[in-house]
Amino acid sequence: MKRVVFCGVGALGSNAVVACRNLEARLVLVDFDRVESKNCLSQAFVKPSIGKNKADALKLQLSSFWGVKAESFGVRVDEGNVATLCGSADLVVDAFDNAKSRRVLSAWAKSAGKPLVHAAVSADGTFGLVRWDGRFAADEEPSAGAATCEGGEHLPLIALVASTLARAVQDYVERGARRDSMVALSGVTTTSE
Amino acid sequence: MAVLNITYGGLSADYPLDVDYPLTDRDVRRIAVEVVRSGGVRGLPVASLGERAFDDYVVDRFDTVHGGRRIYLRPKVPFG
Amino acid sequence: MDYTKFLGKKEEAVLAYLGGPFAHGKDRRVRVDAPRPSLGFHRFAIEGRVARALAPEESPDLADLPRVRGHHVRGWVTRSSLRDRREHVQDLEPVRVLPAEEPAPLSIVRARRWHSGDLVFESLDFDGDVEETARLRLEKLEPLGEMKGVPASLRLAYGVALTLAVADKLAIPLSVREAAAAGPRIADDGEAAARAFVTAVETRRVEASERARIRAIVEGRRPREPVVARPVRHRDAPTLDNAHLRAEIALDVAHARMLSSRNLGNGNLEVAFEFMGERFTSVVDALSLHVYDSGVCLAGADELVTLESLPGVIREAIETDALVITRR
Repeated sequence: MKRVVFCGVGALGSNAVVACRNLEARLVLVDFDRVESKNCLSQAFVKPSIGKNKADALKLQLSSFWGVKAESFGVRVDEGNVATLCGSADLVVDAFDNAKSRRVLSAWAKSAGKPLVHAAVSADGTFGLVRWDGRFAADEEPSAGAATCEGGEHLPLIALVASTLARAVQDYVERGARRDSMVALSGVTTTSE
Repeated sequence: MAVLNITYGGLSADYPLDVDYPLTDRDVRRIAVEVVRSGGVRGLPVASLGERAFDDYVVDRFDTVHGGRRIYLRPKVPFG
Repeated sequence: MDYTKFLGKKEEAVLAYLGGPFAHGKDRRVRVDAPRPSLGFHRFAIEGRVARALAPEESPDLADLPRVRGHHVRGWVTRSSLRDRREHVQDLEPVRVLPAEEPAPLSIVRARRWHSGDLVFESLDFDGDVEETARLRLEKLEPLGEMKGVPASLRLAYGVALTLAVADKLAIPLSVREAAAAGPRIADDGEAAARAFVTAVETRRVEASERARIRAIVEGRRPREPVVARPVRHRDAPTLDNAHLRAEIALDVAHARMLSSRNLGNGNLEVAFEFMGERFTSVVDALSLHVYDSGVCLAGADELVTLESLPGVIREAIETDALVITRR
């Protein structure tokens, strides 16, 4: 069974993981952060998960709600542990919310020859994209620690980007396809095969 | 020949450009302002657009399999 | 019947040749045959409405011509009749046929209005204390400020001279007309105001040029205009061959003087001309004389004017202190 490692299970990552629950793959969840009550607005977490580590909480939700087994690592990804966390992956998914971590993943994936797909969303919640490594460059946050689009009003667009990411993961796992997409309020556009 | 794709306010549309020479990011942003303001981008109706509306936007360039060039002008996507 | 008796008689006269296709006498305008002479007074052989330059001449007696007196700045004179500062646009004119030794800045110049309407140099007047003091201040780029006894014409000339001196320091090209837009204010406020003004003009110039470039890129992708078969040309129809002559006539109608033209290929003609004492360079369609690039900032409306209407637009820009030259 293929291993898919989701790095970052916040807004895009958690919703994409839920949409990948039927996949014939082992889902591995990596996130150091804890679930706050506001995360329940736009992320896939439920109230009882508040206070838990996000990776652990999502693993528990998958198991409790759908009987899906997953692995979780409640750590921050950095140059020192990225190989350990992702080395056995068949596919790495970047759903981080900061450019620094994205670059750590990209650099490692390039050197290790690992397939890596990125998903990202704009601060105003009107636009997102799914792009495979090599055609992706991480955008810096507007300022250090700036709020993500975590208000509930952006959930429909976040869910659309997350679904597009989940479909990209599915297509890769099942057919090896690497499809880039742009997601706007007007719809999803495939930008490369 | 290139296709400029502009994403603004949640809408996204293509605009063909008859260029066979390189454009800077600044050129792309100014061209976008010009064509959106003129109403020439079908599918991207914007009532009023500031001169600097795209200053903080990102320009991506890709070659297509058919030998063309696609230029994307899009908002920054820092979040996940 | 012998029709030759109806042709003009042959005669000689000393006329000022100030460039362009024509020279002006007291009661008529004559076309100057090639090769055209250098600028200045020449003895012409005139036959009918055509004149041929014979030899350079000293300035003739100009006493019968209207006299103008004012302050000199870079080949221009500011009129001493100036009373209202808002009149400065009209009361600033170039002086032709200046002596080889250029008059000092802010010196008092006497000029006469030639038959063509141009001012031609006559003589220098003695400077007063105020001119000498102003000249010393100009060397230090100081404002005139509250200096007493400064006539309006000197204040304008001083502002223009100071602005141009600052433009030179900044290596930013600026014409006398452009400098005149803020002349009196800069005379009062000095170098800092001049620097701000010159920089602002340069910024507008760069922006105009950038806008034009972006517009050109955008227009390059538009579908081609449908090709329309051109009607058969008869003898008087516009052709590329007679473009120079037609441009010259169009400018003359608009009281501008053509200096030169150059075929740029693809049916484009570059035309250099003089208007209100300023030199302009425009690119026009060689057949229709529609303007592609006026050479001045027209807020993207270049193609709405023809070579014949362009000088009128430039006049309006000058009169509203909005002249920005984008092409030199």
